[in-house]
Amino acid sequence: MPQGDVRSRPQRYKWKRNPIFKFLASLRLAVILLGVLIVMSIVGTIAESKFDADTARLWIYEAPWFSLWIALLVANLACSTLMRWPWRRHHTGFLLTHLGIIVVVLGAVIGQAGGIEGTMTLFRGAPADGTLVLQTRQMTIRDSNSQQAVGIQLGRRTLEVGGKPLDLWTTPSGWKIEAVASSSRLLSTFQPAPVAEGNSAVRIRLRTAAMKQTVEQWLLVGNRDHSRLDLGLITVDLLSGVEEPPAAGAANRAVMRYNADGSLSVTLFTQGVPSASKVLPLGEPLSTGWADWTVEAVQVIPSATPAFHFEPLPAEQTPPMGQALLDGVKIRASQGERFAEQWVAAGWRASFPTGSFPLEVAYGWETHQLPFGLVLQNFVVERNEGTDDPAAFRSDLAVFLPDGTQVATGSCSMNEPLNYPDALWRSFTGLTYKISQASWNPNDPTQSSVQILRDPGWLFKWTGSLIICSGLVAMFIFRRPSGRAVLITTNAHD
Amino acid sequence: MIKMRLLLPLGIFILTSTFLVAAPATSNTVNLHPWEALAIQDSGRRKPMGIFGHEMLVKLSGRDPVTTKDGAKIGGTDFAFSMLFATHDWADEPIILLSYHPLTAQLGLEATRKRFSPRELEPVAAQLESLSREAAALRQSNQPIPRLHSEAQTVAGRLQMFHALSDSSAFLLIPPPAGAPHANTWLSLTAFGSVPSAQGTAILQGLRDLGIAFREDDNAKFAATAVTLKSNLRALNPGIYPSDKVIERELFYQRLKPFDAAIWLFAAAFILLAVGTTKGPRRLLTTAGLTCTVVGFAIMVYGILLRVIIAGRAPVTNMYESVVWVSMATVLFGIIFYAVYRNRTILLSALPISLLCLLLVRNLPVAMPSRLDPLVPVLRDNFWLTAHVLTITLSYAAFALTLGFSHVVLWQYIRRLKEAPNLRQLHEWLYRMMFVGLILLAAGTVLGGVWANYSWGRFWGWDPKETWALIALLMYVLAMHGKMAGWWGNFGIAVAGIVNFSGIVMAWYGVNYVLGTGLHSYGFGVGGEGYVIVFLALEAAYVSLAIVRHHRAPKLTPAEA
Repeated sequence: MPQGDVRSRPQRYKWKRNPIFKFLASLRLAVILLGVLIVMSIVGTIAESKFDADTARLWIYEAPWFSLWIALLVANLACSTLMRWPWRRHHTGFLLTHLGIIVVVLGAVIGQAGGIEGTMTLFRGAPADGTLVLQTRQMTIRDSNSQQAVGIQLGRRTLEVGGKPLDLWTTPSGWKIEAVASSSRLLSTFQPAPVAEGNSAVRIRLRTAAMKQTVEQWLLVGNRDHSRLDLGLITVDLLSGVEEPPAAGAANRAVMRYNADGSLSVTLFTQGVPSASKVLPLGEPLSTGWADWTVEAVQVIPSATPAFHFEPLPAEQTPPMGQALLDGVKIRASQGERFAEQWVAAGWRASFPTGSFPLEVAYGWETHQLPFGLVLQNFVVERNEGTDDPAAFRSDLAVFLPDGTQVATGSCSMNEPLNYPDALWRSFTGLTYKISQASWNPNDPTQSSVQILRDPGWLFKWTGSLIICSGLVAMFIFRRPSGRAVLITTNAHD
Repeated sequence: MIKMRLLLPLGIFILTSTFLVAAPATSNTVNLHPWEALAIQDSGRRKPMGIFGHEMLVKLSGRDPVTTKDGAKIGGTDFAFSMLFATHDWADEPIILLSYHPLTAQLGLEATRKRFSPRELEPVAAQLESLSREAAALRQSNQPIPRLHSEAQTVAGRLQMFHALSDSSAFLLIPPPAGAPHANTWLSLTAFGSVPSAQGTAILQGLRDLGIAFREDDNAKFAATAVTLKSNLRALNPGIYPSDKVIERELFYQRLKPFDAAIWLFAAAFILLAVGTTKGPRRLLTTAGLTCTVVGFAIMVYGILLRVIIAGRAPVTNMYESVVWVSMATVLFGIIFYAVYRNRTILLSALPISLLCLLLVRNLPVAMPSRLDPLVPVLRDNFWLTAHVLTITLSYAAFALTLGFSHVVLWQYIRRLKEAPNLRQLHEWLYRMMFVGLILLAAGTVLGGVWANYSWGRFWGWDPKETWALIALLMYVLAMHGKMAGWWGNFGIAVAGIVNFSGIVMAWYGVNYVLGTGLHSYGFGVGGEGYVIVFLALEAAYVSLAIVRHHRAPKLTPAEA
């Protein structure tokens, strides 16, 4: 905070009379800068509440003009500090607070330029992983025919498509790739795709006329998550001809087999007791004997691979329990009259049949390869007594170099990060990778997400903070010689 | 070893049959203290039955005591007893809070009422369930949840809680025997299969005798039975059963109601200081007012200390605690400034703010529950967090004192007290109060950055709570710089003392209760909007009045302004 009225003092220094310098050092500029900063920050928080954090960052906090505004503020702080030259004892508080802010902003700039921040999802038992997923997005289009690829960096933005399709790329073979729509409410459905070598997939339909209920779902032989249709009181399992049936299931269950000759057979259990064993012709509903439920094989893919299909969920519909909605874009690949369209969700890739090899579109987050890999040795969740509420999380980690040598072990838990490489001076300077416990998956106790940050600006951030605080205290200690509170003596305009 | 499963139906029958022809719990004169001193496990911690009853009643009905249809007032301890021993048909009492009007309308219930009996809600239970299922699905897919759905979820939770109390499954008062499976979870009367049969029988017998003693209105027998019952329960697993000292401490805290006591003391202090004088016969009133202030402050400190000891954690971890803390700290700053400048108006500015805070938490037990639930992981065991939160909330208090004192200063302008001899002095004090707040807010925000860097891995992330702390800070910095630039004067600073507090209200309350986004999600809640809007409107009116009066006033001399 500037102290005293410097404008009335005769200027001994020529550079202080420079109009640009005077403008940059002026209090009025400071007030305007502060005022706009306040208003824009308010707008930012409202934008975050109405839309999301990324929108607020994009429009305000990480927009170029916001950086420009901060730069102007730094110039104002620096010039107003120089304007007080030669500095006296009572300037201490003023100097320190202003200098502190400059140092913090410097730290932020260094952190932004040289730092890295991302997350990594680890699984117990998985090999060392050093791929950090960043918060910035990208789209990669790979054309296997011409062995060429393009990457589109999106920063924090999602790819938004308004009324007009967005041209993304034209491949050397003349395929035009466009984004034709975007949505933030994509719902994934399991939909196996045919491949040369794979397991068989069957689309099952369960129907009851009395309760007006129809359930349709793809099942894939040997797939952990998608070989069973589970309605609670009824289960349907799809097995290959030779597989042992799973031990557990509902009391009313159907065990369906895809036989080597391409036929389907089914064994029905009613209240746990085998009640019938039949051949199931495609497209013919079979009475199960459980109320009026029928089971039907609607479609068969003899050799399939797991795949997902994405479609936007209408705004008025609530997503099914446990299903997260994703954002994504609809991509169209066209060449003359021929075209193919597909939704690609964030974090997923899709292939388009073009030429003799497919064209692959991957939409998701940028990644960064760390100079080391992490292994999750153990993940512990402590609970509050007598409840399922987590009280604390802890990931026991091992750090491996790319050549496979283990160089460190340690734990990170909520509020207790792990530093690698670990040394006191590194913690103070930020020249280390700080590994913090970020999130977990309540449905998978072997999974843990950690956040990894390297911030070379950290030294400046905390020393700057310290300088600001000591400056505020100094304002109390080193007052103007008169000993009076400055504001009371300098002006009285009302 | 014979397990207890076979004895269970018998046990439940014994419990309830004692009261086949039952009188309501209140018509009885038995002292229930021995009952409230039994331990129970609930919401992740062990607590006295008296606390459990109080918390359940507040959770269900939003108040303790609750008024029955017959007009009787029943407190938490009685309620818990009455639920377990089925001494009263609570399903017919209007004890389920449903205060969100759009939901009342949607369910087709009487629009004028805020509380309904569980039986009245039975026909709409399916609707509530389906709304709360939708809310759960939305939460899982990270979609915003409409208020209607979240309120429905709360009410469905209340009904569920009522049923768990009715069928006694919520009464986890039997500690698991040492070495039993799931040794972390206490057992209810409906499922204590791991308890050896002899001990189980003794416990059931004890509960039955407790019921009989209550029905016979036999105080001595009731107390003796409760003591034996408790020692039988403790004998099951002495290592985890809370000691009498721990139980009595929490019950003492509940009975003491330190923050209610402070309300009376601060109100008395305010009146005494307002009518007292520094000289003459009325200076005794001033002395008495000062005494009340100091005693009220001491009781608050004692209450906060008790909470810290009981919960074993820092004093500010939720909205309730932060309001209580700010109330205490505002008086603390008032006392400090009074000690330095010896002027009653300073205390007269601090006391109403503290009172307002205390009345607010007292009247909004649902929006700001006083419960001592375990903390979410991110808030645990953290030195930087404690330092950050305490500093930030201290700054709120300093700004609250500034707010109060700004009213005093602006009052001089409203009344156009030309001869106000100490207006300049008042401005100087006001400026110092604001400056103390500024130092604390700046330090607290910076400490928050240090904590965020430590806990979340980054120093600053434009999270709404961070951003609003910064906005509030900048608003005060702007006020001071604007004055230095000559854009406004001392009057402007006094206006800023009030206007800028809206930034604090937003950072403190608004981010968590209005915006409801960001990483500080553990502090989110709903309710209290009405109070805040009225507060802001009144402040706006006061400031406008002062501005109008000031601008139309004959010019004061610079020495006065």
